[in-house]
Amino acid sequence: MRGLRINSWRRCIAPGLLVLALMALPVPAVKAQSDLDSAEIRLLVEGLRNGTLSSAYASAECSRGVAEIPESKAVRQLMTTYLEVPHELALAAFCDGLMRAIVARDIGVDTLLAVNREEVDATMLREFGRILRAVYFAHRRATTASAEARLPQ
Amino acid sequence: MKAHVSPGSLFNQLRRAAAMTLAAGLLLAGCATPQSQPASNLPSVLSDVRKHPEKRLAGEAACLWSLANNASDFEFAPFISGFLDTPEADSGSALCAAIIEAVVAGDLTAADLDAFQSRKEARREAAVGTLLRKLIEAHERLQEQKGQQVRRPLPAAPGSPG
Repeated sequence: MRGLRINSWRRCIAPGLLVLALMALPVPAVKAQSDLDSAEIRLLVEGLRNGTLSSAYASAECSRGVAEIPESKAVRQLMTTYLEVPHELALAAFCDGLMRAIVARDIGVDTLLAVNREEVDATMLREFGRILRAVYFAHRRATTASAEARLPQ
Repeated sequence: MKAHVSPGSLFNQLRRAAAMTLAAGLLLAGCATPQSQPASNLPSVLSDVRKHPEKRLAGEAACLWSLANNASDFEFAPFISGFLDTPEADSGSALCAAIIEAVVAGDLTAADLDAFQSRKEARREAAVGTLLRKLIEAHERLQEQKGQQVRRPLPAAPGSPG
C-alpha cells in the first residue's frame, strides 16, 4: 500500500478523496469512471480503516497533491477561514480532516465515488457538500480533543 | 441538469457555486430587486433582522423568496442537503434559517457579507470559508435547540395527579 506513487495518488486519491484537487487532474473532459479507479478507491479506504495505510502518510500525500494544483491558493484561502487554522496549515488541516472522516466512516466509498466524476449532477453536489461537512466535524473533534488534552489535570 | 465540464472549470463551478449560492447570489438577488419591493431586498432585510431579531421569520421568508428567484442554474438544493445534512426538500428553509440565525447571533456581520464584493480574490475566497463555517455552526445550534424542545417534558394537564 505504501508503494503507491505520487502519480497514483494524483490519479486516484486526488480525484476520489480530494474533492478540490480533482479539478486539476489532466484527464479528458469527459471520462467514464473506470473500474480501476473504483477498485483503488476501495482499497485506499480499506487501508485507511484497517490501519495498513497510515493516515499521516495519506494526509501528507493529500496536502502535496492539493498544493500542486493551480487552484491550491484558493483552496488554502478557503480552508484557512473554514477550519480556522493558520494559512500555512490549511491544506494539512483539510487533508487531516478528510482522512479522519474516512476512518470514522463519516465519508464512505460511495461518497468518494460520487465525486470522482467529471459529471456535475445533483448526486455529486450532495456528496461534495457531505464531504465539506464531514471534514469540518472531523477537524473540530480533533481540535477539541487536543485542547482538552492540554488542560491541566 | 447535467453538464460535462473540464476539471478546471469544475473547480471554478463548485467554488463559485458555494459563494454564489450561500451568499453572493442571495445578495445579488436582493440588490437586483426593485426598491418598491423592500421585503425582497435581502441585504436590507438582513440588516433589519440584525437590528430587530424579532423579524426573524420575515427574514427567512425574504431569503426563501430570493432563493426561489435566483437566476443561477446552480442546483443549490443537493449541495445544501449534503452540507447541512438535511432532506433536499427542506434545504432552502434550512439554509435560510441558518443564515438568519447566524445574522441574529451576530456571527454573520455586514463586513462578512461585504467581503463577497471585495475586489481582492483572496478576500472573496476567505469569505466563502467563513460563511460556510458560520452556516454549519448556526444550523447545528438550531438543531440543538429543536432537540431540546422535543426533550422538554410537557406541562402536566390541569387536574392531573402529581
